[in-house]
Amino acid sequence: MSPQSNTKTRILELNAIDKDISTLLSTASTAITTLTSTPASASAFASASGQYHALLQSIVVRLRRQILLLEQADIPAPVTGNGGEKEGKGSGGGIDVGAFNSRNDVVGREMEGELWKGAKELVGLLSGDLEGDGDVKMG
Amino acid sequence: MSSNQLLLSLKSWPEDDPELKSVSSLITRIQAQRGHFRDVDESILENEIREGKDTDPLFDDSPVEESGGGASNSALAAGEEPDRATQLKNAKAEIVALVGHALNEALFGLDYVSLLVSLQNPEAGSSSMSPELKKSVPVGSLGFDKVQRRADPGSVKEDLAISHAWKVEGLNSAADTLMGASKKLGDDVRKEARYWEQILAIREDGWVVTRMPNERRTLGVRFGFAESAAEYKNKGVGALRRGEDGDVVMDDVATTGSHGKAMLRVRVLENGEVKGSSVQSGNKCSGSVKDMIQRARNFIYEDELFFEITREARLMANYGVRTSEDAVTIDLGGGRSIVIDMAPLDDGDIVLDIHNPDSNLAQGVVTAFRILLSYNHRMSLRKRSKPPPPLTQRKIVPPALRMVAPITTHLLHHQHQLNLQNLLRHLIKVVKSAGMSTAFVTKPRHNCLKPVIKNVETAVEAFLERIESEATVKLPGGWKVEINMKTALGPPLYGTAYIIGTSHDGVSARLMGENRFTSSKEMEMYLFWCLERSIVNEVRYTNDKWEQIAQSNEMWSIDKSTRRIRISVDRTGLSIVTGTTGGKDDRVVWDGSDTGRTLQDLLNHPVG
Repeated sequence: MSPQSNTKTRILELNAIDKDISTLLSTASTAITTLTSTPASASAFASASGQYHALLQSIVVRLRRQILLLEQADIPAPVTGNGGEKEGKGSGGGIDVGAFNSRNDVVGREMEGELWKGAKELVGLLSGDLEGDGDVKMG
Repeated sequence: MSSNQLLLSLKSWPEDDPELKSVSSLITRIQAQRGHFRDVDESILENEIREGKDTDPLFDDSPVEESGGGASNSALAAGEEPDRATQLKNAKAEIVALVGHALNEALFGLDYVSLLVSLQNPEAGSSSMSPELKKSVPVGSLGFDKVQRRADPGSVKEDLAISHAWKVEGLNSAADTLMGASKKLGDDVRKEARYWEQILAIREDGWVVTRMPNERRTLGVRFGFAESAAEYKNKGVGALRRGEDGDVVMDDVATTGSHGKAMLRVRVLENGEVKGSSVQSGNKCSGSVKDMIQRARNFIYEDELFFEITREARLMANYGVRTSEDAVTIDLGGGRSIVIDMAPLDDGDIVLDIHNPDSNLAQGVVTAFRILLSYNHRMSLRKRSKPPPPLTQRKIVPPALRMVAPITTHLLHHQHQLNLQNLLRHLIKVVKSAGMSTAFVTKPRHNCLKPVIKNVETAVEAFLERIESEATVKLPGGWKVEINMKTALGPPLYGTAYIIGTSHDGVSARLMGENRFTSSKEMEMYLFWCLERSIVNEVRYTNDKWEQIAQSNEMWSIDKSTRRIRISVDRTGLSIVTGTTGGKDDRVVWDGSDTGRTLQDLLNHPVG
């Protein structure tokens, strides 16, 4: 799987977990509401709380999976030497990941491609005019 | 020797301990001796010196102390701290009072419990009673008993109902809180999902999404160029923050300069009048983040481009390049000039007017500038990949990029070549109208035309070299002139040079071979000269009644030596002056228009 689509799946998964946590809270609220309704029904509470626990379980499992995947991908980057106290800040041993990631020149390469494409279009557009600019013979 | 004679000792003075006189040690000692420098001013110090007092003015006779007991309050009211000693004194008194109070309370408690205990266990109780208490009450005089209250069934029921209602209310409020939290979280999740969706879309568009340098918690997108000059290197990252409704917001990114100037504009001016202009396209109004990133990228590129152009142009004043605060002008001669400046984006979709050659030229120049900057970025990467130069004390200023120079070279060369072509066309027309045959062929820019572009670098390198054009002219009388014009803005040419080689039979003129001219005027004069001599030769070939006089441009008739003609060529055309000794001269001019009369006619049937 390409890193691009991998990132996308991960983000979508995390979003789904996020959404389920909000559902979890509303399930808890429903379970508590069954207690106060008259007449209070034990079976209704049992099913609501069952749902709550099932959801909680699934969230826990998925979060564990995400943590595992992050660890496999070395995120945060493994800390070596004395950078231990910075662990957990996503610092990667005191290195500014942002500064490093921004050092490649993808933008420059793309810009260059666009410029040459634009130049080609311009030449194509003007090629009619350019014919007169070649060798000139007279006599 | 006078009494104030100097006694010099050759022994050096004992050196002071630098530690004793250093400011840092002085300050600590002064502070230890007399407290802070606060409120110390010249008058206080002078007073102190006058009175010879060794006391601290802050404590003894400062205005703070004179104001009496309210000193600390007034000092506080004035927004100042009371001095540390008073502060300490006050705090100490406060602590002592509080501790005394607490002790008193604790003793009261102990007395109460001891009195109670003394009923059951007089020994243990009385040992911890205070003497005061023992004096005022007898031991064991405080009794206690468990009170058994009969529950009122009504109130029990009420209590139960109340507690039930409280429980229900508590549960309900817990449920409500949970529901509220769930809704709030749900909203947040929706925004978050929206944010990430847009971030992913930006990423899929090919932008580099990264952490912001120096701001770890924020994501940013890189739209700048890694190989930009130092001035622009750190500008190219924009923070992607989450807006109120989850949309990605870029709020700290410049997409235009002052007055909305966002793009390089090239205009062709003729005598101060705009003849053509490049197009500033770009979706100006779109508010979407992707377009904004694109605009930010374009702007940073154009801004750097203009910066580098002005930097280079300042060094090129000797080639007719003028710079002002916000524009660079390249003078092409003949009233034509090219103006480079920054301009706002065009409204709407203005397309290039391809039928206006000057607009095409402007657009071509602007495209060339952009490609050259990207080429320079490539070169910068190549340079960085090599081992760095040795370290020196001097600050190394990066040399100006080569962008204006190659483009100016091209423009000037093109202009000079057009001038040459026009001149040759004119001469040919003139010669033909005089009834002789002549022709020319030019090969413009033959050293930089590459049929196949292999890669970007070789393509651009060909553009950076000096430019050469060739023209071969066949003149009458078997003369052949080869003109090789070269343009380079730098040593050894510093402009356009014309190398003109002539080959002929050597009868009408001895001069042959190569001549080098660095001004177009000289070149023109030489071509005129060539044409004069070649026409002399032509006359000699075709008409055996005429003979050249001493390799000049004059000829005389063999039959009648008093009759002479003079052949001269200038900008207006070919003029032949005929005359006889003692007579009136006649002048016939061929300026290219059809006169219905040839040179041969003139020679065979002289006027008058």
